[in-house]
Amino acid sequence: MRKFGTICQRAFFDRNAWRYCLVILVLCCAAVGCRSKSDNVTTIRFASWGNEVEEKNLRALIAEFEKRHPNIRVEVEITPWARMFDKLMISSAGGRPPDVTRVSSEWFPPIVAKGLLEPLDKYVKRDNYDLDDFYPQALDGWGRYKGVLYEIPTDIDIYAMYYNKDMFDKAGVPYPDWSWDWKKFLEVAKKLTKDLDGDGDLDQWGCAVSMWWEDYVWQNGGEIVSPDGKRCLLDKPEAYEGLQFMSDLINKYHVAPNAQEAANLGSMKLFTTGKIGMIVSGSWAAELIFKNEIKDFEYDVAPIVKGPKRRATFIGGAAYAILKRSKHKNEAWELVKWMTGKEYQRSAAIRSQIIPSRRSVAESGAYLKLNAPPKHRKVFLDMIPYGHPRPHVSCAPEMFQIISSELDLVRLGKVSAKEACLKVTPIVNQLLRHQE
Amino acid sequence: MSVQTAVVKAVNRRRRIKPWIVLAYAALIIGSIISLIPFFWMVTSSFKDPSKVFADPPQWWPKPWLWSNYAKAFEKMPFALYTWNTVKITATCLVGQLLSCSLVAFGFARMRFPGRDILFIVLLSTMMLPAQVTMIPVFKIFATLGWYDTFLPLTVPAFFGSAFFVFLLRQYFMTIPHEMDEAARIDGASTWQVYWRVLLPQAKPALATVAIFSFMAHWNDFLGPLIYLSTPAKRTLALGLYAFQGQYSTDWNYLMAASTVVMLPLLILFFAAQKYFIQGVVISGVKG
Amino acid sequence: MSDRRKASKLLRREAFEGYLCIAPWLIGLVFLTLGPVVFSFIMSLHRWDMIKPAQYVGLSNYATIFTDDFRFRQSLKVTAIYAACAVPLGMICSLALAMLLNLNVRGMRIFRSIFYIPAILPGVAVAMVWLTVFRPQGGVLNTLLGYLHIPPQPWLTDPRTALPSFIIMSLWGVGGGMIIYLAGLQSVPTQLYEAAEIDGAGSFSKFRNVTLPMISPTILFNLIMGVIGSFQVFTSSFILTQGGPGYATLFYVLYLYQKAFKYLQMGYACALAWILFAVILALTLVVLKSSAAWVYYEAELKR
Repeated sequence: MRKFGTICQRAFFDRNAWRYCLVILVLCCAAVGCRSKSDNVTTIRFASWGNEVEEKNLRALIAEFEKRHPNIRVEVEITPWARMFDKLMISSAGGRPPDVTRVSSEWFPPIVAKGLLEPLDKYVKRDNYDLDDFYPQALDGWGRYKGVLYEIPTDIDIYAMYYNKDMFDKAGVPYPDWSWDWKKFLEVAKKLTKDLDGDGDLDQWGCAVSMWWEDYVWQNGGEIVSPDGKRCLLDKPEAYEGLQFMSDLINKYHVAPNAQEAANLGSMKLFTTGKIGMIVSGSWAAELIFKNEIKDFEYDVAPIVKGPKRRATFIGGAAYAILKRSKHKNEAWELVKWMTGKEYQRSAAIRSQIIPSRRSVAESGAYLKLNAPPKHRKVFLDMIPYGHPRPHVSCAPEMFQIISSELDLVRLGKVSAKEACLKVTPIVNQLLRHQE
Repeated sequence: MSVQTAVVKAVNRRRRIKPWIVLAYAALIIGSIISLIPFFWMVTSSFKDPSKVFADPPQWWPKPWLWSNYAKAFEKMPFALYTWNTVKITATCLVGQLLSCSLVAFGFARMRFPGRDILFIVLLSTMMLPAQVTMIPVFKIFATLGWYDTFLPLTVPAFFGSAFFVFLLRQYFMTIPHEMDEAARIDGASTWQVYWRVLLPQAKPALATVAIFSFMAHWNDFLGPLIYLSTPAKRTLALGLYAFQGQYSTDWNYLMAASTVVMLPLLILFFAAQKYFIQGVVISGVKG
Repeated sequence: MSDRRKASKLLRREAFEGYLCIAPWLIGLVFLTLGPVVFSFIMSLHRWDMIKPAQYVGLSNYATIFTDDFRFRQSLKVTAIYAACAVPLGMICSLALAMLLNLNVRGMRIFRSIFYIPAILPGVAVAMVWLTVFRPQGGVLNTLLGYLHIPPQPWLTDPRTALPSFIIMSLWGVGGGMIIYLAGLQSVPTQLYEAAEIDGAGSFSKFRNVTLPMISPTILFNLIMGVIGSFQVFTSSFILTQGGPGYATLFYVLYLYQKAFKYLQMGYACALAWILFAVILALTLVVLKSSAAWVYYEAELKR
């Protein structure tokens, strides 16, 4: 210790020593700078979300890619869905975003508006990449922005209504079909809602309200934002009356669990444990959630019910994109091609029941002829024409958070849908005015 | 405490009315139970079957004890890696803060130079500054240096002193008599030797306090890793636990097992170094 | 003459070494504190997302915040209510515990540890634990209330009870303040109590006239730290509620975080940070000003 002290002391007050230190520091920096380019394997960073099952599938497909491209190594970074968008934004601000990312259609406009994505047209042209095979709804919905291609869609996220067959049989009511509307839906939901153990608290509910509150607006003929993207239309009666129906399902008719009743498990787990009769979800839920969690009943899937004005549901999907800051764009493009290729999509459709964005794969039967529940999975494909995309505005994430916070109170029955919508409309209008 | 006051106190205690003490005990015991219930619930839940975590009527004692919850939690969350990351960051910060803060405090306590007192007032006033004001520009600086998604933004600032610790150490150095370092100087010791050989060894209690506080601050830090770390393999324990919750939000038994494991190192440290914890709070609180 | 030159040379050398000693802090001050503070103010006058070049907009960020930002007003309200409840309640509880421990009860060390431990645990893990404690159905808090025949509360899932839940949670961490009070109480000279007893003072009068004045500097310290701390609540709200339900628990720093690192409105967030700074500074100054009236400094206690 003493010796160390003396050495430090000499170094500290000897001006020459400072110079030596400086030289050493510069050498170190140079060494670090030189080191990174020695091997010829390129590492690219790939970001996605997904639960345990999905992560396993994803890693398997990427391992296949690495086998075919021995000079490319892919670092997979899985983030929980709820934080995926935040992290993409922070890492972009921090100057170290991933090379390739999976993007959900909901974040597409803001991410493009921030200028984060590399335009892909030149790569498509160079490799003669066949875009005609893709569903135009997907390409135009979350691939192109103002005519420029930024993402290659990989799947279509369309929704339908899962139902617990055993619960329907026990109550002696017919299964849902294309003829159902809000009235019929409510009538059956009431029959399924029960207090089984007789303790005065409900423990079985007919339905859960859709995670997409937009559905209720659209089904009632309303819109969220005007077509030019400049004005919020939630203050129109058709919009808030639709949302009032959502609130009534919980607070007036008690056919859907309220926040306290759903707090422990969430509606998804209430369905998989047989406590909810009908729930709206995507095709992926069957493989990624229900397969492991539903143990003691049979389920199937039916179309989303018709509203007073029309049948409509959220349509979106995921796509792969290359970040503008990536230093390995050609390798990244190889990965994007693989992740959107036929082989990958067929595999994803089989492993995760994800609806492919390529028509040739979707129609090849890879998805439709799967030998697993739900039996009527064709309903998902039939729902595509009724799919309603979310508005293409660059402030979408903030806008939806503002609206959802207000709708929390509607679902709790604290305020009417009309009050909430009238309150939130000017706030959203201000946001729309200030967007880039 | 002198013998005299001890005697007075002992006499006082004998004179004190009993019911008071009984009431005090009752209050303390009830308070302790309330304080311990969340811990108890966390630990027992971590051994329960998932369907029994929120069972009605509640299950106060797991039946059966599922040790496998811990095995599963370890399988789903790489604790060893996250712990190692946290240890690396915390240790670097600890060394950095001990060295830099003690040196700066030494400068303020023992050296004479123009502007010293004004600079010390500046140092004190920076304590009033909320970290949020500098958070965004500092993020930009580290991003420009290419340090995003590395440990550097979390560790490097520790080498530039921390106002609170400097203040604490400087106050402590002021209580060490000047005779010691003057004697050393007469023996030919340089400034550095006075700092390293005379003052530091005498300031051990204060240094221990700084070490404990620095450890706690960095081990428990959440906002820093949240904004600076992106790669899953670089997560710290706090960030890893948060990500775990994002992925398995309704698997309460695993979540509680993971929380227990994350708390464990701090509990061990607390019982091992309890003296310094308490003393640290006392030094910082009463003198501050 | 030469002696004086020698002396001045020595002085200069000492000054040089002095600056070297505080150099780490000085460098940090310039690059990690003062520089960023100035930079933060400049950026608060810009529209800036850290990706594209910043765009000068004058005071419009501040104008929007004060006239047209519902979430700013809400977050300030939430934080102020929280501070106004959690700080005094926490101070009363920690002082009460400290006084109980100061009765020289047996097992004081064990009680002290039990109360202090929650204050040192990682905020994320603590939040996870409370997430289960607050569950409306089968959560431990409602179970206990059930034993007392009090109807179950919705806690975090209802806007009316969400903020009170945070206040209850904050009381779990009173151990830190308790230890500081305990040290303050132990440093009150026993002679003062004896003198008071000779004057015929009862327990309450001793507390009122001896204990409180003697520990008033400690109270001041805890008050200031409590106010600053409660205006910077982040981790618990980020994990427990993300500001919901509605905006019932949108704490100020949570809103600032969302603006900065979720929506990349960095300029706007800088303006929010400056307002936070102003609020904290103003509150601290008010407390310090008022302290002249109620804080009692005894000369011999001051080191």
